[in-house]
Amino acid sequence: MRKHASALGSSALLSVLAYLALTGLQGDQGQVALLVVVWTIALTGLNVILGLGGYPSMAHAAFFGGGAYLSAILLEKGLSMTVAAVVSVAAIMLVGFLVALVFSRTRGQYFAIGTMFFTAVAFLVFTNAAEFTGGPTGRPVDLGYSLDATVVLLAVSVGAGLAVFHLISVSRFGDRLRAIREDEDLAQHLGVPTARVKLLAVVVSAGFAAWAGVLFGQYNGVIAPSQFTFVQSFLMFVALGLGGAGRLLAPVVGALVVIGLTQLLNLGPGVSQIVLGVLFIAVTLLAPNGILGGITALTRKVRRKEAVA
Amino acid sequence: MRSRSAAALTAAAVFAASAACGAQSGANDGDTVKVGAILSLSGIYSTLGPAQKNALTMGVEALNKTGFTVGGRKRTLEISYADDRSDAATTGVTALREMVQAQKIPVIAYGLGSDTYVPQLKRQPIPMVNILDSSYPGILDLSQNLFLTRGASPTYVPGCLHYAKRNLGTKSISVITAKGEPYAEGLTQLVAKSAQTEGVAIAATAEFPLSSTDYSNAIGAALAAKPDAVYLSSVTAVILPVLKQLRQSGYTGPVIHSSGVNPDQAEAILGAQFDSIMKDNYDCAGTLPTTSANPAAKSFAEAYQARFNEYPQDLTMWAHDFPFIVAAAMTKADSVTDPEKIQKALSEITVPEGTVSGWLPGDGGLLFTGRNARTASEVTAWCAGKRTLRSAMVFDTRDGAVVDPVFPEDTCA
Amino acid sequence: MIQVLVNGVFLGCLFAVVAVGLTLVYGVMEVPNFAHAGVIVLAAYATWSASAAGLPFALAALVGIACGAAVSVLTEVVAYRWIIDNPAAAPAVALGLMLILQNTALRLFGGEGRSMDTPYDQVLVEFGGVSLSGVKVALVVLAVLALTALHLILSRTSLGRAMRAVAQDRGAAAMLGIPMRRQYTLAFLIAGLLAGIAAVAYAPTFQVSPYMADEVLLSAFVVVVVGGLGSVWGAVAGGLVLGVVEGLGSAYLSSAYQSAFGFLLLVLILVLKPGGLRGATGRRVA
Repeated sequence: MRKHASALGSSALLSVLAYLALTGLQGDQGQVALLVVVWTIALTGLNVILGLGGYPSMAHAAFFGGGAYLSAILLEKGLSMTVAAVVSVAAIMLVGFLVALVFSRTRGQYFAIGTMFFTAVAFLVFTNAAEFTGGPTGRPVDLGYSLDATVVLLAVSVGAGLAVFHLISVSRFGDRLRAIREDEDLAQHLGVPTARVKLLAVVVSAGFAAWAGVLFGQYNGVIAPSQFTFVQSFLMFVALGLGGAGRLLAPVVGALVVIGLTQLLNLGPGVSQIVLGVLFIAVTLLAPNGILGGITALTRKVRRKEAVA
Repeated sequence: MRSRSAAALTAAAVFAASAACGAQSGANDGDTVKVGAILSLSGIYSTLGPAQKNALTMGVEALNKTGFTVGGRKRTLEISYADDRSDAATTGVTALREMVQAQKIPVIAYGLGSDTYVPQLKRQPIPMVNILDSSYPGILDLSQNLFLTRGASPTYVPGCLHYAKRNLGTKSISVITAKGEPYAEGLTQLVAKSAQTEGVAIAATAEFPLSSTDYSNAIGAALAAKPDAVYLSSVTAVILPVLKQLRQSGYTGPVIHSSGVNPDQAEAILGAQFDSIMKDNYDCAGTLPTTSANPAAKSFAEAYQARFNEYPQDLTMWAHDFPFIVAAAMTKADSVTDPEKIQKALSEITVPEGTVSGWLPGDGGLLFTGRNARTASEVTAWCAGKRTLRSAMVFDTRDGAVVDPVFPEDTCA
Repeated sequence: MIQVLVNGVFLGCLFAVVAVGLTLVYGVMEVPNFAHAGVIVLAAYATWSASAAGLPFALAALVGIACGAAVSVLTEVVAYRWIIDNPAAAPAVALGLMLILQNTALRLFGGEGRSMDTPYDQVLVEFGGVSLSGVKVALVVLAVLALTALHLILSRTSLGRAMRAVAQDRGAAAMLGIPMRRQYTLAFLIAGLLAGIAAVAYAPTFQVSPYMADEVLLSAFVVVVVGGLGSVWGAVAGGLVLGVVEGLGSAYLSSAYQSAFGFLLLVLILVLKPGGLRGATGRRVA
């Protein structure tokens, strides 16, 4: 019971913080707040397939962009915001289903390469289907709800998303995903329906990403292919790995580090990404469980020492 | 569970800290007036931004020699620059928000990405003066807040076809377009229209995706129709690589475009063989300051060339004049802070003193007619072996046809 | 039609050279070497800089190829070596390295494209109604030479035989006393040389920029999957197949979606034959 209280409590707290940041910050800092919030929502989805299931999905930026573009197009066609959002998220989940159907036959490297290529193709569509997407320079997005309502939605989605992740994580579905991550062949042997579980995980993660995309388009007012490249998929992967894949708050920490480094510190072109690359390799080699995992291990060590002393 | 609370607390601290330094006071309460400029200083359009910044710097210095008076106080101008990294939708919009929300800047000069700025302008309107984008269909219908300080593509593309027909004997032309690039797609439409007006046949049209690096399919399709000339639609950094492969594939005929490429860019992008690749190249766009008959433009061109050691493009003149336009509007509006008043004043000012572009004034001597200020257009030709350009035809357009063409003597020799 | 096929073969040669580098590394070390793109970019910039500094093209090209080899070996020594026992971390390290290498190029040389000059820029080769620019002919020739040389090394030398043994079964090779460390470094060295050759060969048509290798790398990965991870001849065959498929698709359907045709091929193969075309000879993950 305490476990639930702590997880759900931090989720709610983060919702409040997200709201304060989105309303309190202006200009550049406002943009950072928006990106951190949106990434947190999207990464929470990635945390299901990559964090719990151990499958390196590089399709996340494509789902993210798909949600943003689809909702913008549907809004323009005259659908109400609610309908546009629901249809977009559902459609992207269907796309996720198809992607999973093809690539869940593969593992590890194959899965990463295949889904990365999917993102590259999605980018080609965003860039070239100009009559819908506005082409390489992007397109404006009509505001469906009021700006205030969008901010509230963004903030609520952070907490709600984390809460849903927590529930997934402690459910049987979560256990099965972890079993697949540990040893897929063994899991299958023990009766875990691995194909179905992986399929569901990809679909859930696509839903999170699409919803984050819808909200991003709404608040930002403009979307462009450059926001949804396969490098963005990399960076999402990096963010989650830095935070500590599989942990509840990894999306928040990862988004803060990656967005903070790329947007806040003005280090000149490329330098922030070099720093990210170095940081990522260092964390992978030294603290395979990410920053959060590292902190946990450290505190445990300190506590043990205290107990000894 | 301790680490989880610790992480949440860290996040809270970061948010709170950034919120605290987010509060800033409004700009423009002193004698120095700050305005903004969002330019493509890096990325695919970086052939444009740095030159604009140079010219804006010169314009600000020229203006500040005397300053301007608003509300009985003498003022000087300062420009806050931002780089849109040739990606207006991502970096440009962020810069716009920073300028409007955090720095409280009342007017902004910019280059590309008009449509992506519109949602933000709806939320918080301020006048934005475009000093570059002539794409067709024009940007002015997008928002009442936009002003354009140059003739749009329809004012110069007819010159390409007119000159090709009359001086190059072109009877058929193939068009190669950068797909999805708004400027390129507008040009291609206009070339088709004005080819019809001039009686030139379109031999073939071919496209290549903006991100591609191998243009052999498009070039093959364009050349298979055996055209007398080839028109390349898009900006300098996009068309020069195409031009290089076009020449590599054995084509030696005339090449026409509306990109405003200058010799420095040709060398930088085409490499050591730029002179032979640029041979038989014709460019129709705004007038070049260097070849201009207007003394103010000419002396600006000399000063620019001397200071930056770089051949000034057409767009440098419009950038140079932006500070003067803003100063005139602020004086007229009697405000250095109120975007609404400044926007209204922009439509009411006449051609300001000190400008060099050779503006063609509208009714009543107004600078902007329908939020558009414009200058004459020109066809330039590459001087082989000379690393320079010459003016081949200066003209104006009416109803899509060339009027008053003037053919200066060949200055290459 | 023939012209289109010839263009496809040109693309295929490019893909093959890049893919063989990837598959070699994968074969001995099980690393999906995303950083290969960064190696190509840095090799191209090295050639460009040397050539801009006044070196004749042939020398500048050697500088570029050497730089490719050096950077590639460096990635192995600094990063990949430390994760041999932890293959799950490989994609992460590879991605990190790619970020570092590409952005180093961005930092050093800026984002705008540079043009690389060659002595054969203006050459146009024509035969039987098909024309191919000198730059492309040079790429095909270089690709054939490089891959033939590699074939000889792998099949005729003891070093090559050792490497194939490692690719076949790492555990057994180690037991037979093959020095593993050296094999790893050697694989990265050869991959780096191939990356350098690819860079020198295709940069003159494509412009040198930090992102020049992104699409080629993706296509090369498809080739590797199509040919079976770890299989050199699979990569050569796959490269040619993919080049022709993308060439045909972009000429007759839409050039904007060129690499999407490669993706379709990948999906088809994964659905029909998850092990790749010649999966049996290479090491497999799935």
